[in-house]
Amino acid sequence: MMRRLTLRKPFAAALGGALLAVPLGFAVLAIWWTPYGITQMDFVNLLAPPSAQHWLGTDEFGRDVLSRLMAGASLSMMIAFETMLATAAVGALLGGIAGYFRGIFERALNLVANALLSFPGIMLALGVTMVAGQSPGGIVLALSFAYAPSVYRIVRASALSVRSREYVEASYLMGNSSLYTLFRHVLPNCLSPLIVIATSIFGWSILAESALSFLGMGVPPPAPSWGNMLADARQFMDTDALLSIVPGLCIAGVLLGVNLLGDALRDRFDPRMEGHS
Amino acid sequence: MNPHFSTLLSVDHLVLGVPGRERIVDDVSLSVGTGEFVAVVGESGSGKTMIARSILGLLPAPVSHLSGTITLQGTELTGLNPHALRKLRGTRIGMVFQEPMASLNPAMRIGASMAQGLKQHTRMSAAEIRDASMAILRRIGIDDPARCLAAYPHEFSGGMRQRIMLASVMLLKPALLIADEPTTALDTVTQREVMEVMVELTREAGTAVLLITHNLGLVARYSNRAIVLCHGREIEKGAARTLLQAPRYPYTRQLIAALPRREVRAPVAREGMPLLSVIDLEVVHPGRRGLFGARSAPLKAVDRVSFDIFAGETVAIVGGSGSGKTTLGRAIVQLVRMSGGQLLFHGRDVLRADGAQLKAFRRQCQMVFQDPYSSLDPRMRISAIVAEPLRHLPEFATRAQRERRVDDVLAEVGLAGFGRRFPHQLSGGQRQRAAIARAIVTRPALIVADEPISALDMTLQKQVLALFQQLQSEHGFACIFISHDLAAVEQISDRVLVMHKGRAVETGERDAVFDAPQHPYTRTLLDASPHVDLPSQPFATSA
Repeated sequence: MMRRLTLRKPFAAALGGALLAVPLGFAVLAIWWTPYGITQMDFVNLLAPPSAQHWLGTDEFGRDVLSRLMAGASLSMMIAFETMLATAAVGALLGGIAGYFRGIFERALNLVANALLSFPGIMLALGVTMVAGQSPGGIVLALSFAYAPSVYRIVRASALSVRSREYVEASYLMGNSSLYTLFRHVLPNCLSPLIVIATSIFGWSILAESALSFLGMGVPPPAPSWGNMLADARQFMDTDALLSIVPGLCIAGVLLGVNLLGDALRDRFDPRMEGHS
Repeated sequence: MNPHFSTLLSVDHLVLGVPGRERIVDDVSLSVGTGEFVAVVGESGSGKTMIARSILGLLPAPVSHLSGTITLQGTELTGLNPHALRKLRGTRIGMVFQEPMASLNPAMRIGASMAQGLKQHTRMSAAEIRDASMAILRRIGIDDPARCLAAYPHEFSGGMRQRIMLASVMLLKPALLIADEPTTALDTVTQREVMEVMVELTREAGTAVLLITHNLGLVARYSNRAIVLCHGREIEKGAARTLLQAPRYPYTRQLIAALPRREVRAPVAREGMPLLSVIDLEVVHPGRRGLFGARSAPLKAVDRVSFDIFAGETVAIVGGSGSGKTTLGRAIVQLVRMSGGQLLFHGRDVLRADGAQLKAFRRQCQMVFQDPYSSLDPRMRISAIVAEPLRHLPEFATRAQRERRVDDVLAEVGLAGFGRRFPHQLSGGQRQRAAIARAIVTRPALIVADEPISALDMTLQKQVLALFQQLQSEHGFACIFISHDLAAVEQISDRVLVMHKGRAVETGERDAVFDAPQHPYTRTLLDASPHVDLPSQPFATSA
């Protein structure tokens, strides 16, 4: 069974890595350098097609699409990364506590998680952005509210099964404190599902940030994000399709890369998945 | 080939494996006569299950049939098309698997499960099927077959389920029954009941049995002939009795030598204060709360059990599944809350102990669990697992001190140099050694071992038991050995406590309990325990 997996797994991981590495490289580059300024307008070339001067053309204000795409990558991925870290930390901690200690705390947390999950994620995020403000920080907060319950549920379920394992009982018999047992034995053994859900959340966040920006509740212009680029490009869909296709492809590519890499990471981080050496 | 039987199944020079890799089964030949009982014996990894599966055309994906023939009454089975194979399964060849929890579909009523085969392969009407099912259920000792047909699998115990499984397979009166470790998950008494039902039903229908097992006791008691496998090769085959009483090959001898047997134990001085006194220990499980708040009656898992254990002594707690022996062990180490009674350790009440005393008790009292696959944290290296109990001890404050002790202990259990490995990189026997290392690393005075060998192969059982005895003689810890395996208990215990339905029905010196059991349940238990040394009577049924 293992043998069959190893034949195509490295390829999937490499493809995922590449799909993620290219935009990531551009995003990092964009922190220091972009071909043009992101608000620099070229009134001679409005809505220009790709040329030697502007490789991906320009938008309706004559701004260089490649530059904005790079800066957008930087912003979108930063938001997604922060959201991923925040939800993973909060969700894993609360999920681990609820699954391991059970009791009233678990019931209360379940109630909150179920309540949050009963709203569509994007609605919840819209609401929180309204309160927290339309800034990158606000969006991270909003998306964390929307996604933390999913992490919580997965880690809690995992902790529930781990807590009845004999090595957890053995830890109790050694006289270890509950908190030590939680951090030493329970949470590390919930890591595999956590990695998978966290990478998914990275993908979801890019998508959700785009959706929020598309709805005008995301990153405020003129700062570029893939979402608001897509939103702005919508009105020129008939005449300048490339303007929507490029950010759309970026979003799709990163999402695919994240999913492929997430599976590979899970296999890598679980010592049981290695070949028996 | 026994002249009394005409050949039913014949496997010739069978080779199974993944092409281009090591062979899993290498040139094995065996035959089963009509109505004959043949055992395939081997440890895990010997390829015995693969042979059984290849007969039914059920090899798991990468493994395939490489060469050799399998014929059933003259029909070649290898390379048969799926349709023909399907007709064969059920009608001509029936199969019973190890895990009775998994083999009956939990979402189907017993009646529906049983009817499947008859519906598929015969033209019987629903009423006829029902009558046939009821008749066979009555035969296997089910008092209310009509209720049983309407029930779901989870309403029955493991042994019951395995009997029902047998009944539903035997409904079709196949010519050959393949039973793959059918009783391995069951306790001794239940094992005997299931085996008796199996022998009875197959004899009645003239069905031959191919029993896949690692239990030599079952081979001795039930089979006409046996074949011993090791690493996919046949080692020895022949009449079961000669094979067991006069084995020709070293591997077979080794298997037989691995059977636990009674040894003389140095007498333990039982003077002064016992190490641990268990007084009227009680564990009551409150009834389950149903969906709408109604509670079922509370269950007394352990009912006023008392015994003493002295330093260096081994007390075995034996009993069938559900007897409360595991709960008793867990209550002693305080994994389960006691509902009543006292626990005196060195004369001090453990339940009233303050923090420091409880810490001392924890250090002095360790546990070895049954399943070495779930008792070691899969994310920690062996050295870290073994070192963990030391973290509360002041004399092991430095890393160097801990490392020295861990190295010592790993060497003692025969795992020197394995510290850097993860549990999944060890075999089952090595894992159990690691678990034992963790238990003895603090040099405890008492070890509670809950079925420590029942998940292991025969030769590993012997090694682990020997390790226990050796460590005990070196370090002098007392041991509470919880087991349903009477043979192992006979080998290593000083005293025996027999539990039945939560009560201690008999307590006594090992020799007294084994040679002159007082309580009827102890006698049942002893009778059910398959023993190779007894004069073996193939096809013996219960009187």
